[in-house]
Amino acid sequence: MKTFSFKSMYVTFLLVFLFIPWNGNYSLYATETQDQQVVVHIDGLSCPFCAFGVEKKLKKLEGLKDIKIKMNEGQALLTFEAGVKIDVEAIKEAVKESGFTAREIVLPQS
Amino acid sequence: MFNKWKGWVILSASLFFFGFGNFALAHEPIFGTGPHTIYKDGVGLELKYEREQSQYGYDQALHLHATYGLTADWAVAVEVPQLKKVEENQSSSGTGDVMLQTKWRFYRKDYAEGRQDQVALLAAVKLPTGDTESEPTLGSGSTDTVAGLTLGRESRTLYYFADLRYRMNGENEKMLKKGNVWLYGASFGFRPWLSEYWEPDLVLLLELFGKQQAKATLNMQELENTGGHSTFMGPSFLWSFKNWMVTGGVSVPVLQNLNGEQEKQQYQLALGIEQHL
Repeated sequence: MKTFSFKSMYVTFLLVFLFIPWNGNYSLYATETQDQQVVVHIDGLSCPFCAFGVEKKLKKLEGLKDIKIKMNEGQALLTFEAGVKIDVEAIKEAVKESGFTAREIVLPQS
Repeated sequence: MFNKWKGWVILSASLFFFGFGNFALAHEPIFGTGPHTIYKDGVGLELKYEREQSQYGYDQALHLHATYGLTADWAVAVEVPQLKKVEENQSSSGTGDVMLQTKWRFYRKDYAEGRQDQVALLAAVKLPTGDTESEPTLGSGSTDTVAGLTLGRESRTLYYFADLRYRMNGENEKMLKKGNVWLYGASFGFRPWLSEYWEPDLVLLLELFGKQQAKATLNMQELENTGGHSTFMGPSFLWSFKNWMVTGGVSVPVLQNLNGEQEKQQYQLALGIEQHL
């Protein structure tokens, strides 16, 4: 009984240090070391000159590294720093303050 | 006495669109106006040159126009014109009447394909800041107000605009009151090719606009050679790159049904540069 218990503890120890930590590291890698891509579908975006206001407002979002506006798709592609919590309401508000409507926001898959 | 008010009458008759509250932003008609506002806390600066050529002289103006977005749908602006007027053998130049403007876009519907329908109210007050002693006069000497409605539909390829404004002119200290004015406009535009955000963008417009002005009064007496109906038409362009826009256009009269004997307009020219900050 004591031997079995020792083996069980040993196996558990191995699992903890080899398997579970590995899964944990993988999860952290996805959220804390990789940039996060967000696609914002913007309605009403007709001209590049007006898109300047969208870019200016979205640039103020916390943790934003890069922004690309695709006029023909009516999209803003946002790249956030890894580990930053993405505030969907802040994105919607930024688009609203630029005079347009954020119809859909596609967040990165976790 | 005649010379004193002669300038006012000429001003009333010859000035066509200067100071009529053309509160145009972004992709809008350059001779009329549209429902565009600017993004919240945005600043728009525009320098616009206008020239109105008539039979016996010309007026030209350099307008400095600054706009601020209180919200995405409500903008305020100030316009300071530098004028030069030449009429027959006399000319004058200097600062004209400063105008304060506001525009409230009370309806806006955005569509997925990049289309936007908008309706806005606008109002303006023109202050008597211009010189009224020069010949020709640079200011009207009166406080005038403008109110109007404008609507538009924009898409990636097509543009439609219409506006209707009414201007109530005040009486100046010389008891001259220019006739109140109805202003109207309708424009159609298109984008010849689609461009991305970091590419130069061009929109071409065909603008139709005009005014119906009542006769001016001096000491409550109507002046025969004032007021009437005029309609202009002409092409214009809007070329933009990122937050810079260059505009230009020329228009010619298609109808000038003026009361009495008045100098007729020959053409109008407008060139502008605008930046959003």
